[in-house]
Amino acid sequence: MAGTLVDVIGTTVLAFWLILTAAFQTGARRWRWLARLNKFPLIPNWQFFAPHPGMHDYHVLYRDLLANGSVSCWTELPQPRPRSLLAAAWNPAKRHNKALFDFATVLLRTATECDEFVVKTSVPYISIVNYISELPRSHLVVGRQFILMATFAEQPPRPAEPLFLSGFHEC
Amino acid sequence: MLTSATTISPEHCVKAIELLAAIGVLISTLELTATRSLFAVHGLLSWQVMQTHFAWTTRLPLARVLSTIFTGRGFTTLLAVRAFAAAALLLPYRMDTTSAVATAAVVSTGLLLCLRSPYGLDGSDQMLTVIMAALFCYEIAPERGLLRVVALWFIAAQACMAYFSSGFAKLLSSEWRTGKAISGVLGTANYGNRVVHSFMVGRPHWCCVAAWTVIVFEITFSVVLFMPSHPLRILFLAVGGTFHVTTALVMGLNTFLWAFVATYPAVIYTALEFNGPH
Repeated sequence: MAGTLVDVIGTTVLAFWLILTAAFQTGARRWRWLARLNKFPLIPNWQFFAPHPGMHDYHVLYRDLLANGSVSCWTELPQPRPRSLLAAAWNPAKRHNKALFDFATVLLRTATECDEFVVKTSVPYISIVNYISELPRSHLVVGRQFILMATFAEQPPRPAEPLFLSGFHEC
Repeated sequence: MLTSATTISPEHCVKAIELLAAIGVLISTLELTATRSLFAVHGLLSWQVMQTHFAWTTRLPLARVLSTIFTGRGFTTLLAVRAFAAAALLLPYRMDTTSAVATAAVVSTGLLLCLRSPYGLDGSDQMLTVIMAALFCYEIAPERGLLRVVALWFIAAQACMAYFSSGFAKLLSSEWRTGKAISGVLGTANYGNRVVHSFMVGRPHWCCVAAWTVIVFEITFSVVLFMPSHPLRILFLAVGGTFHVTTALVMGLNTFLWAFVATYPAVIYTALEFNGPH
């Protein structure tokens, strides 16, 4: 009896999971509630690198506001070293890169769709401010801001583009 | 074992899936351990910030519990549990309950890691969770229960859906149809490769052929379930394996290799169920 119950519950759960996954892939408007609920995310989105693959790299740069009112030059957050063949087996750097890519994607979408307050209280925005605020600085620094830029590897060459500029935040 | 057999028992199939998926989970967990600074208080994925992703994770007393699990020693313990659970699945001889406990541990730690940071995860993490959840269902199912077969069908169906969905979304994209996506992605620092990019960049026809090869392979992957010939099936899955080895080498998608190839024994099992051995 207990075995049958496990059979029925397990089969139902897996069947539901499969149906919801299939529905989620359609991207149809009627399934938007699922996207909203799926923050965990238990329902996978299988559309890797599609329909629009990321054909650019995001870069975060920051600069300091000094006590005398001047600003420093932009400094880029450390970029990952070029991958070696070893990355086919062991690639821990991908987490940092993917997190930054996800932050940039969400931040730009939020900036397009929402007002400044929502942007400045979003997780990606606060995460980047939190991260850069602890990077080494001189005692003359009173504030720090960041800029999000994109570079492209297209032919013909396309210049780097500034995408988002934060305000100065006290350090 | 898989290539020579014309039939495959669910037990052998599950053993193969467990082995491949456990390697993927172990690598991904050790990679997280190697990037612990990301999860520090002022790291890019600081829990102090990440907990604001959901309103309910900031409310007491849950916030205190989660803070214990997701910071400092708690987070180290979480990763250690996940790594040990994955390692347990690699053992050739184990107690009957080991697989059920280990898969349950991998699934629950996987969900906790999603809660810890939904940022920075990729499709391989999702596929590994899907596989481990199905394996857990298999392990707790009665000896000759329907759930055992359904769990393997579920893994095969998720694999087919993943390939089809990815291929179909590419088919709808002009960047993919024209091949621009190949040179575009290969030119990035995240998923690109300088050597392959410099070779492909002046060769739009090569890019187009590569893009259509990916599209056609992904869209037609499900056909493997209905192939009447077992050797042909194995050949098709070998193409899939080669595809994932290539993306691991060229794009650094190392855990995708383990996550997706781990579904192949379930695909073979399901295909044999549909067609019978030939």
